[in-house]
Amino acid sequence: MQAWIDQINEARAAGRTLAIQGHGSKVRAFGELSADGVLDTTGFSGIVSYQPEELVVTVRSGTSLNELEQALKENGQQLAFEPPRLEGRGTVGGTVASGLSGPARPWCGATRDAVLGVRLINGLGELLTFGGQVMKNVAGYDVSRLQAGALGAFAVLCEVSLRVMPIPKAQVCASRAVAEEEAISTMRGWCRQPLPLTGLCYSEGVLRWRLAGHADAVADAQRKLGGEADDAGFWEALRDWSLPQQNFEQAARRVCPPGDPIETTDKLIDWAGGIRWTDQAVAGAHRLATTPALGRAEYALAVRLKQAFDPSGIFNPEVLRANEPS
Amino acid sequence: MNRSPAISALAQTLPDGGLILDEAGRRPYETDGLSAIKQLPWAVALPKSEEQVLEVLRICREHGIPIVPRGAGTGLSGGARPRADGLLLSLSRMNRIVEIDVDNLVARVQPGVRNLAVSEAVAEHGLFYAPDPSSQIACSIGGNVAENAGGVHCLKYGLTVHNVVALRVATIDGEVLQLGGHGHDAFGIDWLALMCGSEGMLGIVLEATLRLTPLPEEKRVLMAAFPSLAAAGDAVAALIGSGLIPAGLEMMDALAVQAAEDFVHAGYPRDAAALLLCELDGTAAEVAQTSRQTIEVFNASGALSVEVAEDADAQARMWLGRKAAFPAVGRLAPDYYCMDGTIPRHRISEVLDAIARMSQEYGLRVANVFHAGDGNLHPLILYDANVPGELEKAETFGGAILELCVEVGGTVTGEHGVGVEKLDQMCAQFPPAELEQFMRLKAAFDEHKLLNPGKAVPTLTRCAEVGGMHVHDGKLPFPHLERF
Ligand SMILES: Cc1cc2nc3c(=O)[nH]c(=O)nc-3n(C[C@H](O)[C@H](O)[C@H](O)COP(=O)(O)OP(=O)(O)OC[C@H]3O[C@@H](n4cnc5c(N)ncnc54)[C@H](O)[C@@H]3O)c2cc1C
Repeated sequence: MQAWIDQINEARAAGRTLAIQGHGSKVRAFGELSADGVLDTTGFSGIVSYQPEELVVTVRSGTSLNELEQALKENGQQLAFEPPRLEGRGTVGGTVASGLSGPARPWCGATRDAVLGVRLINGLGELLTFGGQVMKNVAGYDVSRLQAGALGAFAVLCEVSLRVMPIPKAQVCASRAVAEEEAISTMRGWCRQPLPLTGLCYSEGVLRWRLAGHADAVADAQRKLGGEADDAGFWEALRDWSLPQQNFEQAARRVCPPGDPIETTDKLIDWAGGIRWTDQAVAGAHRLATTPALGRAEYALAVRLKQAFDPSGIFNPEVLRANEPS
Repeated sequence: MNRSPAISALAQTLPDGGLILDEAGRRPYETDGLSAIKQLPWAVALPKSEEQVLEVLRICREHGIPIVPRGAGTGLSGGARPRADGLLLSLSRMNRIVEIDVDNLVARVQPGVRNLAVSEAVAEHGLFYAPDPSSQIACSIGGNVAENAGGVHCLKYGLTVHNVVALRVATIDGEVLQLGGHGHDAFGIDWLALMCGSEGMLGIVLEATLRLTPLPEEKRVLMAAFPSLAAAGDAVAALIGSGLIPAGLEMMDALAVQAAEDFVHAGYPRDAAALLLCELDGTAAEVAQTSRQTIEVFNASGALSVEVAEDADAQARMWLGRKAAFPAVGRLAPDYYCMDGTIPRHRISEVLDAIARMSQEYGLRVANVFHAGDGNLHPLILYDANVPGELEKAETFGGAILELCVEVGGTVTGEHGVGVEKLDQMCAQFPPAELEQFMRLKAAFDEHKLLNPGKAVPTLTRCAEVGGMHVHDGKLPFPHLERF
């Protein structure tokens, strides 16, 4: 870590900027971050501590998602927020910084929900620790969760403590043809019931769902919902953004109130209606390569917040600029 | 400073008893749930609308008057403690449920709405608002957001931060921020995480959009008695480690059990050294399966008895003692002091042992009633404020417990917040550079320190003074600071 601190201090002294980069798995998604230099996190990897009975793992940010998930799997656990693996080379730091969550998100929580603590280096070259390894912690502002989704605008993540969850004992995937007019109301109706859902997705006339949890509960729910059994292949592909509708060259994503009607440009509807993959950059949707513009007051505050962590503007300078109100 | 221009501006903005200046009227606001600390506010404002809040903020900004936001005043860390020179801004009159959106499973409410009122309003749709602090009949949603409140069911359903999807927030600069939306995960900076638990120091919550959860099909409550705190602590670690997440998992020690039994006769086994209450919910099949599993774990950990409550009446009775535990313990001594540290679950029995030893050293009794499932301790230290020195002794004892929590890898506050109460312990948990980062973050929102100043984050000078009492390894903490 000292090497990173030195690199940050040198950049600050020289008035240079740094792009924080892991394995570059998300370059295709977010675009290349241009800066005067690159701070490469991949060398700093490994699991620092893992206590399966505490449901907590602490990992260095350069650890690949594959390595982490493998270690969890050996103990019957997983990351409940199902981050996209993108060739499996993504780092844990990149995963947390981009804050992307998979199909189980509405029921099992988002990336930020799993973040319990971080060690980071701010733009002053200070190594700081926030949060911890316990589930409940309100000592000071929640600087840890603030890093999830911030795309490295505030600090370099060094270590992250994540809440992990047991892999459910049973899982069933199924599908059924549903007319487009009924798709949203069916999905929302199911969400209002206490069903053990971990996925609910609609595309091209087919409603697909995934149930997970205790064996009896899953079997009961499946009997109620009917449809035809499927394998988990679709859900793996959906999670990893490898379905044709998730093609980076054309697709954009739109987060919206889940009950909103389907627009003709919505080609794949996940999160029980809460996220729409569109075939073009329609209003409210954004290409993966950009994040949405903020309102004027929110943007001004975001800039001051960045200054609070990174007063010389060293880290990923393009990230906030992309949020500038038009 | 001459405040009469500010007073007339405030009076004009807040007609119909919206501004309280007389002493008798201000008296009810002199303390929050941490009643050992009292202070009359300079004035009290009771706005009824967003426009009035913004106007009050403008007047205070222009006159440099500090503001202390307040919800229902049930906070246990002195977060809403008034200032002699400050305006107490009570949001209690803004108590309207603005919208219930069943399709999107959200409710939009004003900050003064009581926590329980949300669940009551959505029950007819088969829904509830999951975070349920024990104070839920009284505490407000604005206060819940500011403290990131938790409750018995947060083990499974998450804390306030996991159940808020959007906030409207007024900044001291007079801006209204719209953070989050009706859907999941507005992309980008996680403003909601920052606002939850910010103790009224970053902005005023004007409106909150809350996630609603379907009521479970079935519930079951188990009560297990253990021969020792260690056995009960191990049962907690074993249960969570087995991959089962109950809706709630609470622990009471012998003193708490007896106090509760004397008070409400809930039918608790009086001979238990420790009692676990475990609520399981889900579909009927799921509950049948998870209760079998739980009973096995409890028995394997040496439970003396396990009782199951299947119908709503029996369940209510089982919870009754837990819910009444604080007032029940309150009958054992003239005063009690409630602590709120969180620790890793596998350290529970060790830390409870240490607390019992300290209790003998300080000569003050302690009852433990707490959220065992997430390692969130609530030791209740019994004392008598009329005995000279006992309050100070209780405070020192409490501080020592919190420092122990930090030592074993935990935190000084799991859900009650730092407020004014735990400022000294923040010095034990955070080195100066972290504290300075908090201060810069605060300044990004409130450069002139007008929103709830002096709470949550201690000054480095204060830590230097506290640090003087705790010299570790012969090294003086904060060497670069002046000493007094
Ligand atoms: C018997 C009892 C049991 C309790 N049990 C629990 C429990 O199980 N779990 C738990 O988490 N807590 C518990 N508490 C603590 C307390 O109820 C919670 O912290 C609650 O969230 C406080 O809400 P309030 O409306 O009373 O806030 P207040 O006490 O009025 O204020 C708390 C903080 O919020 C700020 N604030 C209030 N409203 C706003 C607003 N609109 N915008 C910005 N800031 C605001 C205040 O400035 C202050 O810093 C308990 C308290 C009591 C007395």
